Amino acid sequence: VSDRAILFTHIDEPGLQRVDVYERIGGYRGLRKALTEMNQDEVLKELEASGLRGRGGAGFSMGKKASFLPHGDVEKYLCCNADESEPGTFKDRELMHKNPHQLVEGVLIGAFAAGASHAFVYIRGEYQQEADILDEAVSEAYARGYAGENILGSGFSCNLVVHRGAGAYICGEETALLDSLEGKRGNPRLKPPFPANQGLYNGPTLINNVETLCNTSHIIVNGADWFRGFGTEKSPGTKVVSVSGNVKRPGNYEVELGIPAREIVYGLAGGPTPGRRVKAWFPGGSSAPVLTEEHLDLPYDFESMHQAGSMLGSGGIIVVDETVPIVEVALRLAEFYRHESCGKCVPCREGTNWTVKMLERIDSGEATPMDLDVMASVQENIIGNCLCVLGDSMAMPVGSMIKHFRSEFEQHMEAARMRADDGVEGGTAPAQHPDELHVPLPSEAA
Amino acid sequence: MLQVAAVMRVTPAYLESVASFYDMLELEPVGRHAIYICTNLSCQLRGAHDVVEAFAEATGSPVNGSSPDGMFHLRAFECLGACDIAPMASIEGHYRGPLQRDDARVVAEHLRAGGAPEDVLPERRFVGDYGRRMEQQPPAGKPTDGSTEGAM
Repeated sequence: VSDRAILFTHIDEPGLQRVDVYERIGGYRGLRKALTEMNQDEVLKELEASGLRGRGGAGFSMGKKASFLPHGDVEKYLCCNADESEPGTFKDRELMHKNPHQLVEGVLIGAFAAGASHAFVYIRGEYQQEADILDEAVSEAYARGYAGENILGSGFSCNLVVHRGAGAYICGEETALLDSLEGKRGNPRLKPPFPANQGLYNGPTLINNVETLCNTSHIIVNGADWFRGFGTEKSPGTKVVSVSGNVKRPGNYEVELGIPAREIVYGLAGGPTPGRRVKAWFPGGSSAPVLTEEHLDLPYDFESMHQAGSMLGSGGIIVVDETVPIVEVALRLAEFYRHESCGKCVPCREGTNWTVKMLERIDSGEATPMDLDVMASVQENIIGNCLCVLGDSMAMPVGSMIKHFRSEFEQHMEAARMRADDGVEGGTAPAQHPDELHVPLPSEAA
Repeated sequence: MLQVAAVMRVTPAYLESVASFYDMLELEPVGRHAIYICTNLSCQLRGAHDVVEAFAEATGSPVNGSSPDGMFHLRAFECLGACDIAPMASIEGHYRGPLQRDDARVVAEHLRAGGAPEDVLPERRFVGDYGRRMEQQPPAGKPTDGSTEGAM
């Protein structure tokens, strides 16, 4: 794995946060090459030819996205999405913390490709240390003439600003990010118009994830064919995967797309505590539908995860071992999405709320088997019915848990009901669902 | 709030709609030292609830509130993006983990004594580093440059 790394090649170089060290290992060569030896179209073509797909979650071709921006003399913007709020994902934090200049260079190459004169890095407010490190790197880049007016004498100018968020998951959604950057509530916008046409301050805007932009300098220096030498045909390149949860060695690992998932979970991260088995795993952050142990032998790339009914997403693998009740996992996630729902769309605001309530009922023994079907249908009615995918992000994993672990939900419900019944004292029996009133209570039957 | 709204030339309602949206903006005075403990899935799987409990005990602050002496502001936070060091907390912006119950007392005493937040507990960032280094060790049988041994 190590000799086939792109982004992590020099990650443990001492002093890499300083521009001198970064230049010594070949830093800013990509920017220099792009600005002085290539024109905007050539950079765009190279990025498109590399097949680089967005690493933030959607997996859309980065070069294509950049080419959607209108040409001509309008004010254009580039936003780097460093909000990284997806539970189970922490790759951007390490990339920014250890190698901030790799991102600064990538942002400037992206801005050149898009013809953007202003670039913003929107970093989540919790990452105070990383924001400080980036601020320092940006001022070093300005001092060396890599950012600002007439960069490297090429005539291209671009201002770079690091903007800190203030704690909201939804601001990782691209249009919510733009609203937040403009100083408003981070509510998602209706699409279309897409940000490529009408984004920040109504100008055409390119939005890319940290990891995506970090790849650009390597592609420019080494060429698209070199990049295609990594990974699979449809998912070229490497991916930094964040493995967390019930594994021995949680952390970030850069792997080539297409390696078996088992190699990541067991080989790199050490697997669960000996003697325990993997019960469920999220292949791409907490928004991805869960997969089970049998799916561990699938290749880890965009297509295979999609075919298995899940998604590669942000590359955050969360491993849940067999000792953890699945209802607990579902409830924790639903509570998170309820907290983070911005409240603009009804299916998401109410759907997340009622899912939490139903899961709490299951846990406290007040649920009836019908609740599972209702809950499953609530999930189906959220998906695709909102402006953004926050609601879907709860509906997909919770829906998949009901699908894969239905019997466990039923057992959990039954066990909780027994417990509740045992604890009944003087008529505080759990409320019965009207449809079930004719069914005798277990105590009556006895 | 009214004053801020007047200065910003927006209505107080608009200002509150924005300010209340973000988790890190406080609308009321809170304890001096902000401690955010991540309670999302990856941290929960590794015992975040014990850590929250221990911090509440050690700081005397209710969860999602401030201690009566005004020293601490304790929050059970949604994902802080550091699942590699789970369970973890952000001590005034400084990430620390993996935490154990005893660490809560250490943090509380350190801050009470006026210590700087960046000096509390050893910084164990990126647990995955160790995993990666183990992977990078040359396979057995491959000759290695002896001079690099022990350099780490």
